[in-house]
Amino acid sequence: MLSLSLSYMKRNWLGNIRNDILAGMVVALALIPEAIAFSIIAGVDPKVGLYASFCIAIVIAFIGGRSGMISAATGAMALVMVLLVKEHGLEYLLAATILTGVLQIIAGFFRLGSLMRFVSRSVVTGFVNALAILIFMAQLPEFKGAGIQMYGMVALGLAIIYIFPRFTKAVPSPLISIITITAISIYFGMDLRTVGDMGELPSTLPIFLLPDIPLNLDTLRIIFPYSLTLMAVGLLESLMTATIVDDLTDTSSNKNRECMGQGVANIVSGFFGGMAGCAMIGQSVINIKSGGRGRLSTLFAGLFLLFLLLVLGDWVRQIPMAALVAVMIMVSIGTFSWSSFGNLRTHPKTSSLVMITTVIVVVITHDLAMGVFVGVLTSALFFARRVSRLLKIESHLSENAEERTYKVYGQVFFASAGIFSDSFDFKEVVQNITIDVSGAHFWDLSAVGALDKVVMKFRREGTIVHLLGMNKASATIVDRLAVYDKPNALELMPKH
Amino acid sequence: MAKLLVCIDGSAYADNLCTNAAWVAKQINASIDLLHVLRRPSDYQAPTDHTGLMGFEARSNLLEELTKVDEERGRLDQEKGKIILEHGAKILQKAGIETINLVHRRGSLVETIQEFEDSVEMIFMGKRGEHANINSVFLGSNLEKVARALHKPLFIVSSIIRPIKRFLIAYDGKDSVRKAINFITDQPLLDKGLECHLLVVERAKGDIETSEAVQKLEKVGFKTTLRVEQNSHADQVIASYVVENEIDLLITGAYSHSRMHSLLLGSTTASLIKACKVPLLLFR
Repeated sequence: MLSLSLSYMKRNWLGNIRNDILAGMVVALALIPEAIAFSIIAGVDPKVGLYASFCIAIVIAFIGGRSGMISAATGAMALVMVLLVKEHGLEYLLAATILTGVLQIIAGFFRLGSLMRFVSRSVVTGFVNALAILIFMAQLPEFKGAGIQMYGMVALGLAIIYIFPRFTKAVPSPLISIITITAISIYFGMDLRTVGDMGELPSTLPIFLLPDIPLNLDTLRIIFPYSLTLMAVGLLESLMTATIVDDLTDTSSNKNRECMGQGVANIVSGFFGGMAGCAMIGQSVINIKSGGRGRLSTLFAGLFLLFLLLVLGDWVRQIPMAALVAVMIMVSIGTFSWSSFGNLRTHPKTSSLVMITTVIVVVITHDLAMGVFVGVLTSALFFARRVSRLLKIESHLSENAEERTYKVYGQVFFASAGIFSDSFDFKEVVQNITIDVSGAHFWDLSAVGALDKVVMKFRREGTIVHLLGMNKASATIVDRLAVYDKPNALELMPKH
Repeated sequence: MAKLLVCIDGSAYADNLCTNAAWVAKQINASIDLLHVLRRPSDYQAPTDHTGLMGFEARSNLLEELTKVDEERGRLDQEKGKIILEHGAKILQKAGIETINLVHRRGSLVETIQEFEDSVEMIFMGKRGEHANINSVFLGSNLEKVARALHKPLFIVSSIIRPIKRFLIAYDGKDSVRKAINFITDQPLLDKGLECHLLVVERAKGDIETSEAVQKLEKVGFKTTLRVEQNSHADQVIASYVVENEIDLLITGAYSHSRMHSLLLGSTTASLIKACKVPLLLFR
């Protein structure tokens, strides 16, 4: 047991110490603007997002299922809670965060993580694009009523972010951008909104607190729908991110452990005054890019984040929103899958349609879970339609013109049952009909019903029907469900 | 026909490994599986970039970049692995081994060896991996892991190679060393007539019963010398006995303590492997 845990320690914690620590620092620097920005999206004080990022990063470092993945307060989750915060306030958000965690643990316990396989690639692309669009749109209110100074500073911030890496790759360029913009705005005494104007920043370590809410059914009725959506969005983004990190690092992760880990992290976050969060696609990519692979990188990101805040709190207060907006625009540009434009032409039309549907539903409803739900539904329908075409029926007449043999190949189920029953010629008068289904598969009630209908119809016309080669899977479902071979078949059949 | 699994890498032990394995294969009439395990791509050190910038297509560009690096290193490793295997095979062929099966695999060494474990008679490894200094007093990290994980006899090859005239059994009366004695009395590995030293290091007089083992060894024709010592540092006693009596092969049972125990007390076997300069045959 210990030998396992020792090699586990080595692989997950101590295999990559220097790079993990450096990457953790880069991530922590990038987390601060994001956590603040996402708090502002959710409509709470920056400290709520910062405490959340700290708690979630540290908890996930120990119990998450994917090493090297960064979890914190995220835009996807912030977007879900806007209305809850507006109508009921922060305390309800904290309660909803805890309930989200409980639901996620339950989801992990029932291995709902494996449901991710139904989320197709197109839906994932749609999700990511929609997220990028929402993050970008959330920055637009900052420009409302702002003067030319705001536009200029954002443009300068973006220019530094994108151009600085050409000179050195040792220092995070968003950090340089934030420092420069802040310095300029302080030096010239510009009239720009700052982070300090957006609400309270953390001045102490987070403290354990029970959310101040009445514990009754009414409360549950308010928070449950939000928690349910938060659970779904959180798990979706976390599992998508885990897959992305799996791909990038060519290693595997434990998805159900990740579900439960996200749950525990959210419960801890809620009790320490933080909002719900999940894995972050962008930060995880930055972590991997910076060389982070182990759990140490995640832990260090959380610790360094808190350290920076406690030490540099007064400086963070003076960061102009323009600097944060520039960073968030970079995040949305980096999150968006630009190749999906080019892919519209080359990918199958149905895949593109699924992707676009997902994006549109999210942008309209501001609900990523709804977008994914509709996306999955659409892709399932397209799939069913495509498989329904995998059905072929051939027939030939015997030489004495008394027996016709139908050969059925392919998949018979709800979507193809109609095609199946339409393929038989009931007007032709022959004594014997053989239906050879050895190459076919009957999947469901509709398929069995269609076969029943065909056999009955021939029998009523006085034709003798032989069924050939029911394969095993088809046979079981036909045995259990079909009526044509029961003694009172005709009575059981609905009259038509 | 029995099979031997020889785990070879680019270390300085590779040649000795093949020579030793060839000798054993001829003694017990076995074929040889020559195994080289490549690192997993995820074990490569990746380039780092601390810009914290999420550029256009950040994900796919990063994936592309990481894949390219792994691809290049992977190809080099593959070629190197092939050369190592061919080199080993040449030594084995020269030593007269006819059936050699080259196995080139990717993954963790321990897991790969475990896959093959059941079908082989004995496993051969060098004392240290290719990245370790041959003069270092530390064991290869892989060897330690393999030694703990395996259930088959493990032949640990050192830098010394000479014909075996006398061998030493470090006897502690436990199951694994009894297995060792059964093996050498049943199998033609060691010619009957060789000098066999049975060394018992016990904490108090009469702790370990030896008569059965001595009888068994003498019965098949080994010229057996028994030495019993009272000392709590078995590893040191055995190591100096090996030097004083010019022992050519040390046979012992392995890791009979639980991992916890060895972690706290220091495993006798691990320090034996470290201290003794001769080849070591480890039984589980």
